[in-house]
Amino acid sequence: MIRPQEKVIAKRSAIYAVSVHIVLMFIMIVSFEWRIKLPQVAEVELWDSIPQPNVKALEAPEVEKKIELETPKPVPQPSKVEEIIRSLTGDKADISLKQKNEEEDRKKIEDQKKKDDLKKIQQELLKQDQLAKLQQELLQDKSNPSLNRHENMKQQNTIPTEGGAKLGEMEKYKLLIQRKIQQNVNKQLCGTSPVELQFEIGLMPTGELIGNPKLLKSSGMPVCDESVERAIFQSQPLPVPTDTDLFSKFKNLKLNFRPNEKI
Amino acid sequence: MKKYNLSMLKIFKAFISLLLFSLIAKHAVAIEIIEISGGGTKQINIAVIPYKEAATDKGNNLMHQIIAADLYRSGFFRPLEVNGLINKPSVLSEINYPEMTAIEAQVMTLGQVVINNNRLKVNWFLVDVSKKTILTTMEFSGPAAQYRAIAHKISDTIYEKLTGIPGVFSTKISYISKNKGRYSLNVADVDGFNIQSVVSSPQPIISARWSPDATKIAYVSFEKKKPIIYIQSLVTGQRTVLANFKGNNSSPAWSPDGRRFAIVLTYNANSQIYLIDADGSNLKPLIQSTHIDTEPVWSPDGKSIYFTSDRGGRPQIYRVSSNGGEPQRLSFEGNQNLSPTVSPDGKMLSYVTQDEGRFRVALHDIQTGQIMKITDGPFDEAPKFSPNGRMILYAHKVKGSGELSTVSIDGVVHQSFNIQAEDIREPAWGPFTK
Repeated sequence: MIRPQEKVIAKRSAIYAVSVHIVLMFIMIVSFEWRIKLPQVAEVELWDSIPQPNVKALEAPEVEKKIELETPKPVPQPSKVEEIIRSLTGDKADISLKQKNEEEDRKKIEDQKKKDDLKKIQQELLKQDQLAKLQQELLQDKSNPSLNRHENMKQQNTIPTEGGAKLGEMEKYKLLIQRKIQQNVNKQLCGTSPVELQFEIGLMPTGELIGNPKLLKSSGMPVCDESVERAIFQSQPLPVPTDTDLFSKFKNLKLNFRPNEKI
Repeated sequence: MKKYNLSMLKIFKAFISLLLFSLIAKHAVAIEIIEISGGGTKQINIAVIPYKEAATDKGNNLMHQIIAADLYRSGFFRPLEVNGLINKPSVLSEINYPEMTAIEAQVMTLGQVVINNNRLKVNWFLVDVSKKTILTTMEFSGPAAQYRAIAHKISDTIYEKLTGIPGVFSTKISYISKNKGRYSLNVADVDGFNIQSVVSSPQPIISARWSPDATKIAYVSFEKKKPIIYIQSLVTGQRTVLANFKGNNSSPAWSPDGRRFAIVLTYNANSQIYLIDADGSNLKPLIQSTHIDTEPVWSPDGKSIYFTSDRGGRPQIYRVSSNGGEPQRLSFEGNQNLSPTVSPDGKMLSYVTQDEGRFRVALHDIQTGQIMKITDGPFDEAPKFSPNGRMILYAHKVKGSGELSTVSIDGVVHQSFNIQAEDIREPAWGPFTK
């Protein structure tokens, strides 16, 4: 038997309990989204040649079979650059297969060391080519149809989850910002010994700065600090994502500069 | 019951506060960090707005033109095209920032020139366009004849403000010209204007070197039918003989304190390096060998002497202690390397390197041994560092006759001097003057 007084208390307790649960659930959702370790795309990415759109060899089933039978080889960790290239080409799976096929053919002719060397050089060249192309496209015209095509392809094929896509995009824009500012830095004004400086910036959705960059850590050389600050100003508008959710991560950025460090 | 209720509320409140705090804390560390390593040699975009002044004689450069040319030559600046600007401010209130941003100006200078009773007064500003702040505001004045000197002084101030390095636009250079069979040692402003002859002769003049205080020049003249080293005052024009020994007397090099010289004599057959006091006394050999040792230069600390020697078979650069001892070879690349010069900080060498039939100016990092060729040749000679170490002055051949050029030490900005003469050779860059 519940007395009326107890009824009121029970009601209150129930409200507290429900509120706590709602808050807890909210926190859990938000926290999980933050904490989630987004899946790193770790497929083999041996960039041996420029991706070809028409890769007929892939349809041959025996090729796939061969790949399965192949002994596992050391897998190079995909770099940020590769992730970006991948997100733009959309031919990830195709390329991997084609390459593995080629890899096998070559195996018959070349020894392992030679192969590795070649791979390194080609990877480097491809990285540079693709990156330069990508930068140009993104910096020149955001409405560039070829870019849209790339983006569509990326959405269709490459990244398995939304979180993954965002991570890829995130890294892409971080790299673009890094490159754009870097090319405006005059390291001659920062002496020759290693220096480090940090700025914090606020960005508008247009990529323009909100106010002045805030110097968090000085290089100890006012001329160097000012030079880097000018480089930040000169890099406006910075390439930022159009996606509102993603942009929220770019509203405030910390920029760590090491002008005398080799890239 | 009431008590129980209250504690529930407290726990609930504490719980919520804790959650909110953790949310805020998480937000606080969630700022993305972008690492930016390395950089380039991006020049500073500067808008040198025409200073407001009465029109001068046709053919004379205006103040802003002298400043823009100075800054351009330094390699650190890219003066922007400003003739097309709608608004040409001469005071701060007239600045149209959007227009400045549109031409991608990062900094700008503007000012007013007033000449009254043969006195010149320049009020000028250096402005940060991005931050809309004044970096420098100054008033320079002097005799009207000092028009160019004042412009150079403004260039020096702008340069130092933005690079942290002292500007060299007010320093002097010297060079040897040949016109109608007459040789002349001349001194000029660093932009090739304001030329003054120090000495001229029908016989060759070579190896001019500035004293560390910029008041004297030592040089070698053949006027007595043999090479003799003279020291001449730039203030009084008086000259004294430093070395007139048996054989050839050549390649004078002032010690950093100005008290001694390293010179080259053929006293005992081969060219050998000797040390001598600035008054011509106390001659003693630095190194004795059976090879040709020549073109000595002192390190800025006075402890070492760099020179060219053929002791390895072909001319190469060597270093020896200024107290003598065993020379150490420094240059190994190229067919031959000659005419060394040391940067004011003592860290870099510049010399002429011959490779694939071309004579080019090379920069040599003494510590790391890294070498960078900063000119293309094919006949470059006599490189000399600017007093701030950021530029190199050298001579080169254009259609058979010599000309002078400067190159920024990154090899990016080359600029030739427009000096009228049949042949120009052997430049030297004077030190900073106080």
